[in-house]
Amino acid sequence: MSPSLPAIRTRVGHADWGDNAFCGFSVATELAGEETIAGLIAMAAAGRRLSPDERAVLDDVAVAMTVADARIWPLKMTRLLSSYGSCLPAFAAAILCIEDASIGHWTSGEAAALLSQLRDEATELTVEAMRGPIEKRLKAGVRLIGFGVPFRPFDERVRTLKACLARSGREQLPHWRALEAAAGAARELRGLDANIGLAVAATCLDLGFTPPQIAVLSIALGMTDYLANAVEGAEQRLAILRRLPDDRVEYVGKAERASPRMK
Amino acid sequence: MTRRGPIEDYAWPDRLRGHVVTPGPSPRMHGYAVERDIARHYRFSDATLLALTGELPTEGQSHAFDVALTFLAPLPVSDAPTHAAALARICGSRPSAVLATAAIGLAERARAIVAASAGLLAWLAAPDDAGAPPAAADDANRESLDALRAALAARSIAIEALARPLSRADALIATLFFAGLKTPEQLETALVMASLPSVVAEAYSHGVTSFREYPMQLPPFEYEDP
Repeated sequence: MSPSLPAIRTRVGHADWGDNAFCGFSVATELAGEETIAGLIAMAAAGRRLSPDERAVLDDVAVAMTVADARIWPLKMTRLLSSYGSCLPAFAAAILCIEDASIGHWTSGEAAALLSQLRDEATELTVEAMRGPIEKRLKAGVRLIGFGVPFRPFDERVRTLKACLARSGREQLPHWRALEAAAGAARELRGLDANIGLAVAATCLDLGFTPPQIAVLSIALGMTDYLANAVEGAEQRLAILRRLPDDRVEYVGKAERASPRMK
Repeated sequence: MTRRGPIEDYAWPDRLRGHVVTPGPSPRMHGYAVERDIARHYRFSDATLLALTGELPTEGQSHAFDVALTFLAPLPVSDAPTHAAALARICGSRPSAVLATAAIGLAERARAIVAASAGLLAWLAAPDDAGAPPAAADDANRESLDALRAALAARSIAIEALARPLSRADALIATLFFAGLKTPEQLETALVMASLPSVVAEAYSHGVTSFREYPMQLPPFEYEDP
């Protein structure tokens, strides 16, 4: 047998006798009855405990970004896979497919990185000052993650979240102001408005989270969209989702041909 | 009241497009009749190459693919995908969940292997001495490379890249490349499908709920307060 293996350090949790530790806290005496699911998610993503006000902001984020229409691409996937009667594989597949994807909650992390850069480059948080950094990226062909609202004139979720933040004055914090300035510039230059990815990014940057943490947080806070569709899909077990009628599929691949061995 | 939103008010296609397999009875794959032609004249591995590349393989590509898949087939329980699948079995998961766990683990492993092979793939696409891949590091690698060359030679296949002292992993990527799999998507798929049977077989050899037989402290973890 090889010599003793080095221990892997972990700050996540430990199973004690009579209690459990999570991120430095006793579950029984420090977290139970005090902590919320949003707070636990923040601890899981960033390893730090939030104040009640900060947790309430994450609750606002989770609620405001809800969009659970089963026809939206990743959510449709949960419907297809849950049609066999089980919800968790469908839920897991949807969560899996949005990491590093072009759409979906994970993009909040990249949007946060971009917003941080824009904020650093702009001399002040105004549309005029943001025009240069935005224009530079547009000319270079850089995709502005967090900007652009497909199929509708504005992202209703951004307005919903802003209204929530305004109740506690958080729309005046630096990263939200950077969002407003950058979105103003992007609208003028290319007709691009901020989408919910950028709004979540700004809100979470103002809470002190890093871009990688924001990607994870956004997924966790948005889970209900996927879960609700997976649960209902598993209950419905619809044959139409297991297999579409043949006449609803158009084959556009290679024409019929015979193999050399058939000839 | 019927709700309306962007999805109702935007014009969408009304049919889903298929590019590889024709829907309905008597399926064709990339144009070839699967049941009346491919199944009669080719092997499953040929059908796999057809699916992945769009074309039937040459005799040499077909044999090289078989050899590479066979070399890639075994993945012991020490490796994360097999270990994870065994844990799913021990937890009493459904067979489909054991399989899905294995597939996810293998896909992650394949992603890492192919990402690490980016330089090799560029060199294989445009070989030059300046960008030559590193030599095999140890005797085990050399033995495996010799065995791969011998297995290919037994089928009259010589792959130019294998004349170099590649690592085992690089040599197998080079063999898959020779077989016609050149993109990360194609290579990752081959890596997953090659090992999937051995991984799930190893998982199923573990007892359901055999928790007491599982080495909880391997490897050791040590909790520390943040």
